[in-house]
Amino acid sequence: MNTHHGSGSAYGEGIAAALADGWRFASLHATTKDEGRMVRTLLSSKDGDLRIESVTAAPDSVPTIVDLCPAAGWDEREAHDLYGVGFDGHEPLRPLIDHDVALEQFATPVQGHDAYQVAVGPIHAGVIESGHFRFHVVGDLILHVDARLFYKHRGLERAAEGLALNDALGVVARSCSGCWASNAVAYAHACEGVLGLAAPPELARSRTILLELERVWNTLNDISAICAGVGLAAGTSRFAALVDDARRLNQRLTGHRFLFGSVAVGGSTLDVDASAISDARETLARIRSESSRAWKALLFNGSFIDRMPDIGIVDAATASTLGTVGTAARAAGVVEDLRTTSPRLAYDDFEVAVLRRQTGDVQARLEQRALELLPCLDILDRLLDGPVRPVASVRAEEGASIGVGRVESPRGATTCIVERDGDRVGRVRLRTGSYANWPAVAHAAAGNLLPDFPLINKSFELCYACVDR
Amino acid sequence: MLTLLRDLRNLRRSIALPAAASTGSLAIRHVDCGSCNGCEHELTLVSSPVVDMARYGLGIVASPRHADVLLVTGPVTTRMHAALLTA
Repeated sequence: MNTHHGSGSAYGEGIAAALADGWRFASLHATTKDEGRMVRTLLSSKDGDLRIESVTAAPDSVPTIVDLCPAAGWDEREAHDLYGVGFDGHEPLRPLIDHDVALEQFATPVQGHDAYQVAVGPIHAGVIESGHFRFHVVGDLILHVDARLFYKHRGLERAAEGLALNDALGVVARSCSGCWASNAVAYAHACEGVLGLAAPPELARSRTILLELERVWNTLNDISAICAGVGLAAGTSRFAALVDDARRLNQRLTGHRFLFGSVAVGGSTLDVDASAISDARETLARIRSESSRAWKALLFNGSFIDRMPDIGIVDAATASTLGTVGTAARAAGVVEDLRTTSPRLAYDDFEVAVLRRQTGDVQARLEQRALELLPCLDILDRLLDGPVRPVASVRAEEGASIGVGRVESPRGATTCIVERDGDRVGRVRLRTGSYANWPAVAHAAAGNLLPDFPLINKSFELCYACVDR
Repeated sequence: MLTLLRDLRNLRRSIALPAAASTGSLAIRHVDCGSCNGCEHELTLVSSPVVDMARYGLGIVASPRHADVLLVTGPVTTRMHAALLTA
């Protein structure tokens, strides 16, 4: 990995040149270093190469890159709220995590004949995580949405600082149970980068199994949620029962329904014997046949399918601009999946599932999920070919001061950056797929009807917990 | 649609659920105050056919005004403090 430290304008020029060269924005965070603060931007290439561009805040601000890559918008606002770093040229720099501000400061001003605001949340009507949405509407038509999240900000990144690398895994990964394994593996990879450790094939296999087990229940859960979004109770219940089936399997294999405790830094303690493996294969085969049966039943339900097309559109150009990741990006035609560039995992010749109708609407996102469930089950079928044994990483190279782990979570690319302080965590940043995709949800909602928002929201099915941390 | 309903019926018959409650009910209002999302995922599933808490007279309601129980998940973050008090 290339790290480059520039000052002021050199930093902005370096990033502009890299973006022109085909590099993409992956993450931006602020950190305190010795006497001052600095900002680090992580860029990635299509082949999975990474480079970090750093800049020292002199004295309080750095040049913004949001004009070069709008995907960095939330990251810069976060860096400002948590570290007090200013971004020259980012106007207005609205508060993101800081809630102690007047309404005008976080909401976009919308004026016009009959325009008014509908405030929803932070507490919602069902069993939903806490977050506030401010809809600017005329009648039922949504003009603009301001999503105000971070009601669940627990300061987990700060809590992890100063802990031993392995101890901090529990804190970082626990930012979200829905993406626990993805967060844990991304963090473990970052730490192993710091320590100069490589994953032997058995470790890669063990972790890939966990990631795909997580993807199975999440995918089923997403389809169930979309059914709930249009009020199709039969579909919701059918897929919810399959989610339960998948989570019970997680419990039997790892001792926890959300896979907690199954990932560690520098190795794996996961031990699955032959009888558990055959149980897993049996359960997954049942999930495969029952889910495809239920999926066909959904396809033949005209009133359900008719609700899906042309709602909540995020086209390919918008998805690229906003840095959208995961199924939401692939449904729009941005065919990117970190599973194609994960040498530390056992994805061998993984090919991205490509939808025929890449329209970036609710229907495309729903179909993309159903499409991706099958290869996911195929990967598990290939990997669950024998007992899983505990294994340790092997030393491969000299350690580094910064490590990066990137994993394709059920919601898209999750990036974890760890800066070491001796043998402890100096700074850790977790940027999950949900974090990358929230701006796309707000974008997708504009121009649609207010009653369609729950469906649009469910078609992304993002976590609040792993955004807020 | 019939396939879905038939599968659900068969699923229900295959699960040996304990007898449903004959008396009493409890209306629950859930407030997330900074959980890891695990409680929400599991709370959604206890309404699914496999557990079906409605059999025991337990239900999630949309407003604290309708509720007997306020179910708080998470450690209560500073940003949720005021909202929780309102609820």
